[in-house]
Amino acid sequence: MRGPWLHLKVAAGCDVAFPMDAVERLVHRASPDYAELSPQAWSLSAALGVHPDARMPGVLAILRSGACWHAGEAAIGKAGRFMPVPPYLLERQPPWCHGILEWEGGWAFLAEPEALEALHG
Amino acid sequence: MDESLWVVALAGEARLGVLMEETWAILDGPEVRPLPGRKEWCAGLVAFQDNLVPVLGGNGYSRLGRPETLLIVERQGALLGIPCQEVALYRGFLSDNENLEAEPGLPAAGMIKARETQAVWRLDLRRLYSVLGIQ
Repeated sequence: MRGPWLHLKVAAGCDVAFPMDAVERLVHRASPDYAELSPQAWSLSAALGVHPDARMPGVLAILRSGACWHAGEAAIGKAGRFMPVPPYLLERQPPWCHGILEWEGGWAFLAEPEALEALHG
Repeated sequence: MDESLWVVALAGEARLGVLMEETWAILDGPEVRPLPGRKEWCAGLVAFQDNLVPVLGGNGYSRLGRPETLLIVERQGALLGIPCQEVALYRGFLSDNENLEAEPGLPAAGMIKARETQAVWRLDLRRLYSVLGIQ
């Protein structure tokens, strides 16, 4: 399966990937805009209930929906083996993740942006 | 009554059997990775041959322990990993069709009779998948 996707480091062994067409902007911690945007951001690790990566917060990912997520660091992935996650494995519906991408020897959970926002809410 | 080939393994306190044709694989020491937001019964996922296999072992199944060995079963295309020990193959036949529960949460459909075995329950995959909400 081909991307590109925006990969965000969330926790040890847990990356989240967004389809690039859902992404509006990526803001690094060193950017002048970071301090202004950061208070509006939600934590991906808190939404997913995982222990946050030591590098968090390192970047902000702003989606076209308006959601703004804190993450540890970001990378762009263009290819990877895709394995679907059956919806019945997830507690909340609609499922926040519909599959896993193998990425640099690890896994990235391919997110459904709107369902992920509902987890935060 | 026809004899069948059964994959038999110890899961918790019970010795369970599934038909060879219901078995996809037996994995030693698989790496189980967590899935955030997963159902309570699911301990995590194992990648196997381009598939993600959910592993039984969260709430309600924690007594099964960490999977030193994982028995991967299949029903109507859906895979499930069951942590187990002492995997063996037996030829035997199903003695009855009573609906029983071999272990809490592990429904059985009768017992498998073989010449050399202890009591072996036939794991009822249809009921197990229904309990877990898979099918």
